[in-house]
Amino acid sequence: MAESAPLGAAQIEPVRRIAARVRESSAAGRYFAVGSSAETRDRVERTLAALLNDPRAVVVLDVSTIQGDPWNWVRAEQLRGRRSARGTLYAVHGLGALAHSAASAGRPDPYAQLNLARDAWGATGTHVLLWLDGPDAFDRFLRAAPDLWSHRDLVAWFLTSADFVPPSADSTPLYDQQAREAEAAEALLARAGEPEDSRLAAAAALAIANVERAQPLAAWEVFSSYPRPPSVRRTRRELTDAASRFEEAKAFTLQELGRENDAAGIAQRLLAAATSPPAWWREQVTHRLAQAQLASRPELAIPAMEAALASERPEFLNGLIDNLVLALRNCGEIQRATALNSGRGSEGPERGAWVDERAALLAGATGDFPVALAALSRARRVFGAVGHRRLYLATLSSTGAMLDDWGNHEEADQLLAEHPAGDLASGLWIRTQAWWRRWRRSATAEAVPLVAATSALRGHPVARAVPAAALHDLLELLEDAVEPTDPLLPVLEEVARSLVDAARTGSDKEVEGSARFALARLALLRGQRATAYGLADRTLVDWCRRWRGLVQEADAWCLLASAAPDDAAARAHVTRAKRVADSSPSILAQIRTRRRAAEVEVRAGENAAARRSLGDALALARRQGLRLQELELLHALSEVPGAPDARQAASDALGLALALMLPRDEARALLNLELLARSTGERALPRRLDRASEIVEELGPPKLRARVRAAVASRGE
Amino acid sequence: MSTDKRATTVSEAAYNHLLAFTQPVEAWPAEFAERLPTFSELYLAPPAAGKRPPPVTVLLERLRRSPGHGKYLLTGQRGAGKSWTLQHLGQQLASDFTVVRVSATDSFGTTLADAEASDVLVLLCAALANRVSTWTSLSGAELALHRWVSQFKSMTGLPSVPDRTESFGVEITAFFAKFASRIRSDLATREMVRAVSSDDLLLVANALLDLLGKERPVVVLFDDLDKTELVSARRLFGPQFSVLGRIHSKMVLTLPFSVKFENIVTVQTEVLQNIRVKESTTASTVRPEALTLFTELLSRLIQVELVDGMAVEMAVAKSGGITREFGRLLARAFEIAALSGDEHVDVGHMEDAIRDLRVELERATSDSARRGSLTSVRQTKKLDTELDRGLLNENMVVEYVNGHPWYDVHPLLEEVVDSWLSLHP
Repeated sequence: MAESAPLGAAQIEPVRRIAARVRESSAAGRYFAVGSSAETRDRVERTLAALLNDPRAVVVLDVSTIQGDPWNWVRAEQLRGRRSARGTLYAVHGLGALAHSAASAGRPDPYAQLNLARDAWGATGTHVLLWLDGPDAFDRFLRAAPDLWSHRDLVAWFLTSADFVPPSADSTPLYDQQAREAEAAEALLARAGEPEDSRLAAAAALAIANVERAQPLAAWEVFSSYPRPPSVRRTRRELTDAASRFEEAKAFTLQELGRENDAAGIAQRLLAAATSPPAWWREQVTHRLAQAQLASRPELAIPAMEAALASERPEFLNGLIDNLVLALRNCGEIQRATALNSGRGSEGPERGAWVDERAALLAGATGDFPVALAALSRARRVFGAVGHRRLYLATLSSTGAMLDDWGNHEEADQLLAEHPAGDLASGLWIRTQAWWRRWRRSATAEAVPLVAATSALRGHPVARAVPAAALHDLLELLEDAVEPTDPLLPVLEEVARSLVDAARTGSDKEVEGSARFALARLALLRGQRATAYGLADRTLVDWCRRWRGLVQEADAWCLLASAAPDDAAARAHVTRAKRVADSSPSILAQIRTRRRAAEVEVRAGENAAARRSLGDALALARRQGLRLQELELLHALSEVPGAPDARQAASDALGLALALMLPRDEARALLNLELLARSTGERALPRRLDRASEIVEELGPPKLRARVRAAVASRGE
Repeated sequence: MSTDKRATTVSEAAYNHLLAFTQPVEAWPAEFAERLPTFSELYLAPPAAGKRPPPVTVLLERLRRSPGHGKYLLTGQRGAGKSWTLQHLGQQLASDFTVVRVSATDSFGTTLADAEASDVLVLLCAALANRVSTWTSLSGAELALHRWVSQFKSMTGLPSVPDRTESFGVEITAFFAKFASRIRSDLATREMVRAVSSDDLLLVANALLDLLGKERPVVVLFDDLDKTELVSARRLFGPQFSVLGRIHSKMVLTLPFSVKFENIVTVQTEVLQNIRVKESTTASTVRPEALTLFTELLSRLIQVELVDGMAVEMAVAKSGGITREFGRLLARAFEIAALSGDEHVDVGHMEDAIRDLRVELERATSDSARRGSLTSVRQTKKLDTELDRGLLNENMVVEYVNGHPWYDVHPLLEEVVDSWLSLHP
């Protein structure tokens, strides 16, 4: 095996502890490492050997094919090697395979055998690192070896995507459904003399297959070739099933290209065009309307979908629940969404994959990444097999994002590098996120995917909404991570301006407003409050009301508050922001608004009010189990100057960051604890800052890195 | 005890002395145990003015002085020191008795949960046979042994046993060694044993005990029966106990703590209890007596000047009264200080240690069944299922006593479980 890279900052801490114990202690050591990646194992063991200053200090024993008691093998190796117990670590691999073969052969469970050997193990003073192959194996170990567990010295987690590979595919044959549908549709369209309805249905099928294959630009081309069919223009009663499907497919494609308003408009027109449609048809189009409004107007979409839950058509209900779960999740209504998602059937692999994909989104929102990654892995396998590339890439991207948040950035990068994203429109956000993850570490403004994509799509009358939306989302990610002087910001400003110009030329008010919103946010990020205020003004709010819903309107009020020239204006805007957010169903918007309110309040010196705002937001987050938001709010609370509960908040943040395995948050909490200790004259613990520094130097983000560097530079002052 | 045996530096305490708390007592290196005798004395017999003497003292007295083949039960909360007490008893009695120590888990492992009287007898036979394995003559026991072995050899495929010849003693012990190992690894063998009459097994055990007892009286210390499932334990220590009562030796057996309170046990039972840390579950401060005792324990291992009193109090509060958990918290805080190069352990180190260990436990609760059990225990203060009892074995749940035993999640997990409960009240 080629020599692996050294262990990263996210994973090295427990390894140091093990090394210190092995080096310093004559008492036995029982260490457990959870993770099944051979490469990570190798890194951990090389690092241990290096820390112990002896390449032979780590003795690896693979017990996967033995037939006896694993402890006896360790002991035999110890006697054979005649090495002193102190300073030597026996790393045991292959317990999972051994447990499997033992169970098949009716032999004793090796975990139980190790449990029995715990005393003998202790008596020899041996240091043993047991590798447990992932969370499931850890759980089995815990049940079979509770006594050994209660004598544990350290448990280290080294999870990678290898720990979430689903069991082998079930026997149900899968096939590339999207490719088949596209082929069939293309064949029909190529034939002359087909009736109009057949051609319309085929065009709709082709467009949808293209969207699902992550090719929405190609899907749009279908509609360019087939303008609105005559049957839709004809009298209401003549609206055919095929024409309706054609329009629905168009709405779906528009939605995928960031044109939710246009998609909703189509559904509304369809509803208006039919005077006495069948109930199922009305149900379906209403659902399509709600689906189009799902992201930007949940206040309309969620009640419409909830009303449709009374439907008796199971095939309709499945899609409806998929969308409703997503809408609720986007609003932070995790508990309701989870109950809804877990309470439905998941017959068949594809349906199961949908349920898994939604479950992963929900678990991701609560910071429960192991659960999310396991579900994503199952879903991805199925989506890949049926050719559902759009969802395959989405699950891949989510997987990468979680791994990167854990600090496994190499693996995250590698995942997407092996699977290039879809076309320029479908894959833009995935590529942008991947780029952002790299930027977070290295702060390079080079090769921003948005630049090329904007250049290519700005002239597209529909698809220019895609880079506009990606820019909007990117700015949200950058908000707490970027320094005002970062060279990236002018680059993004150029992107936004270019979109404004193109939209103006194309009389595209929606994209123009979106890009102006971005320009205002960029000005704020660069510390140019007056410019931001001027760019935003009240027209931004009006734009949100016209083209977006309450959630973005609340964001616009927050932006105005942050950029306001004086405290009075800021307070007034914040009040409006809270009112608007509270009238929306989005708990996330309500949390975000209170967080921004706290920033405004801190700026105005109203620290007690800021603490109240953050306290309200914390209660909202905790009620839903939104632990990532909770973490963010705890950081914010510990950063409010003079807050009496700041230290507790920082300490809680550290605990949560460690529990969720989020190293950047660990660094931020450590920094805050250090700064709070300094401010109160308490004795600082230098190791906290060293650890924070180690993390941010490798993993970023730039803004936190700058704060940590400043704290390091001012040490001892 | 001279102070030079105690840890004088943070590093020494972190990497050696404090590990006495978390190492199984059997695993203490000899030199380690030798250096710290007063620690174990205090652990086993904490001062309790005006109350009855500690179990170890009572049991020693009874085993030494009572005539006949008395059977005594020892119980206690998990982590209260049952194994340690048995170990200590064994050491103290070794000069006057032949001490046979049997560990149920060492023999049955995970199948221990449903132990029956016949299993106990087989384990005893195996342990006794191992003890006599160096003897060349089993005169007096041969008949019983041969009869018993003959029943099994055809069924188990074990080596056949020769007729009663000169080498019979050696062969029979080899048979038992293999048989004990087979019981541990082969459920089918165990089922066959259960089909055999307890009287037959008793005959063998008593024959071996009589043989052993010719030299010196025998004391059997039977550990880990407290880990049997409740249903089995009720049977074993209830109706089946009369079988064990006929064993020809003094015996100490451990039984599950909660069974002690069910009025099915008629034998004198000694109870070890964890240290009561707080006056009530909602109290915010620890009892001064608990703090004094834990501090005294600590002072027998390390120079207490190495650590802030407040940090010790924090560890006591989060220990659930379990000495091992207290030691784990202390050891982790000292380790953190040692890694930082600090020469003194303060509240900050203890906060980090508490956080570390909470995270360690929290990560071990990702399984939804385990989470469900923890929330149930937190709400009901009871163990309703075997999964709940499993949590007790895993130290995720702690046993308390106020007249009767009740249960709660480990103090380190309280906040975590409460946060789950707030999501699903």
